[in-house]
Amino acid sequence: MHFSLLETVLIAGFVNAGLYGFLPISIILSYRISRTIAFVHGGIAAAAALAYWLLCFESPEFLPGEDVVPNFILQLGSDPDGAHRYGSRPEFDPLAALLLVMVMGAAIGAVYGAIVMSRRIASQNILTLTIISLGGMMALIGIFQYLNVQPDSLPASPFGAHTYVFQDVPLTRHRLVTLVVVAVLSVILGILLTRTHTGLVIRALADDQEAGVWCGIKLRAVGTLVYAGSGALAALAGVLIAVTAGPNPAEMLLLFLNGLAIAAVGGMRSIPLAFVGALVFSFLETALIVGFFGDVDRAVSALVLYGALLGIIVTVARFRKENVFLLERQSL
Amino acid sequence: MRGSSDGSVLTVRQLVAGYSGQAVLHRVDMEVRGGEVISLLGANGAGKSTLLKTIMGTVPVIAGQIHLGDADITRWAPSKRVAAGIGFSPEGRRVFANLTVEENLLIGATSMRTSHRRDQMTYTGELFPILANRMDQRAGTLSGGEQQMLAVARAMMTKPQLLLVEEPSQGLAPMVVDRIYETLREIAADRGVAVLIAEQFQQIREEFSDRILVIDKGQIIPDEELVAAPAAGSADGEVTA
Repeated sequence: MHFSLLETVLIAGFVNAGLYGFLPISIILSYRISRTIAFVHGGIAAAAALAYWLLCFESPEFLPGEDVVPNFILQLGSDPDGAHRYGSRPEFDPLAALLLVMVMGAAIGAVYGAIVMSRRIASQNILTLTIISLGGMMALIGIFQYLNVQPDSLPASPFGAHTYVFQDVPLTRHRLVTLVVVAVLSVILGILLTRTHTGLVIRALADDQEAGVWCGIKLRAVGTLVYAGSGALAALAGVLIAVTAGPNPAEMLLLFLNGLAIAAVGGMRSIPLAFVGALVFSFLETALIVGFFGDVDRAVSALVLYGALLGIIVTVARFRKENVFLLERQSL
Repeated sequence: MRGSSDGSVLTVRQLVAGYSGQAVLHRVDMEVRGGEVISLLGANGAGKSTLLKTIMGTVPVIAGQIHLGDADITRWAPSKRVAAGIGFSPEGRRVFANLTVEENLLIGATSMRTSHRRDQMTYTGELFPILANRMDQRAGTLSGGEQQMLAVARAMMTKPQLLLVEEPSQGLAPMVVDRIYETLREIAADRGVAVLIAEQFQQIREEFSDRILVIDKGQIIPDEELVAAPAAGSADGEVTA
């Protein structure tokens, strides 16, 4: 082990945890209300990443007529002389693009929520609901894949491009702001869930949806609201990740699965515990990347990372006396 | 909304209801008046639960009408029915196990204005004083009897005019069941609430009921048929009227 790199691992790992802490939030929120894994949020995140890239990416390096990003949306642009120009795009201000994409995520989430929280569909079994969610994700990715964007370049951060150096470790403003946003959001959601009647209603529905309806809760309205909120957060997560990892849907899906595993650390219910999972995952990943453990093979790195995550999930579940795989215990 | 012009709180007329278009209830007629306790008896699968859930609005009506007071609520959403004055304590209690007693009660008052929710705690606290001492306890850790009390108290949080109670005696000791029935009797007598209790034949508490209805194969058995055939709906013929 190279202990000279410990400081780098701790600082960069802590800051990077912000990104990993983001995706579980929307997954946990929707799980709390529907008891299903919201794969659709993976689709929203991927769609949002691509939409953000399309809206704000500046492409001076692409020449008119260059077949860089051929797709029907980008072909709408043209030069003042009327020449057809592939690669033209709105070039929105990144912050405006982020807000627009979050609105899009909220709208997709709301529509999905209104459908799956209607009494007819909400009363289906968990497997059916999970398949619907998976279908939603595949549909979203399919639609955005149609744009055929496979960008090599990263979009600009909505928070600017400044880089700070702390103890010789370079930290981008993007990652620092992401960390702050995750922390603030966690606190706000914690207050919302524990200190407001809306939060109480969400927790009650997580316990027993049908009983909630008998108590006068408007299931569809609350469900739509929660899915809209979690859809906006998934879109935000997609954009924040796209800035550092690129908006490629395949990469985004892999990160979504990481987010899912991290959410499982918190038993799909606890945002603070999921953040602990994100921290551990981020520290380990950073340590493996910077060579803290020496030169480690990529496959071994993946084994170590996911093995550690599984270990934490089992440990936390045992400590909380919950079933690891979130299923009802069978009396065999 | 308090009772109809003729005094009945709930009127069900020629009700046909069921799941996926398949009728479980067949032309059910019944009427419940304010201050009255009615026991609805039936074997497993007779349609008790379906009838109560249809009144609550979670089982679709195929034909017929349901009136709460003078209002036709047949097509109303469950939340609107709760706000209009129907409380429901379901089979198996169905309390929110991970919420505290206080939170369960507050959920029961969801359809009320925020400023009135806390006041309702006092109202229901008078019904079951034991719950007042356990406000911070998780509902899942209460005993079966306490959970049943909580389920009834939660249903009473909106000051309903009609209280539906499904199998309140399930899995409870006879003494606890008596205590719950006494409270249901008080709710009807002192607060003028119409109480409809669905029970298995074996759990009948005649002394607490003003009337007994028997349901079998989705139909209410008329009184005259019950007198003529003592074993109606019951294998051992416990119910005769």
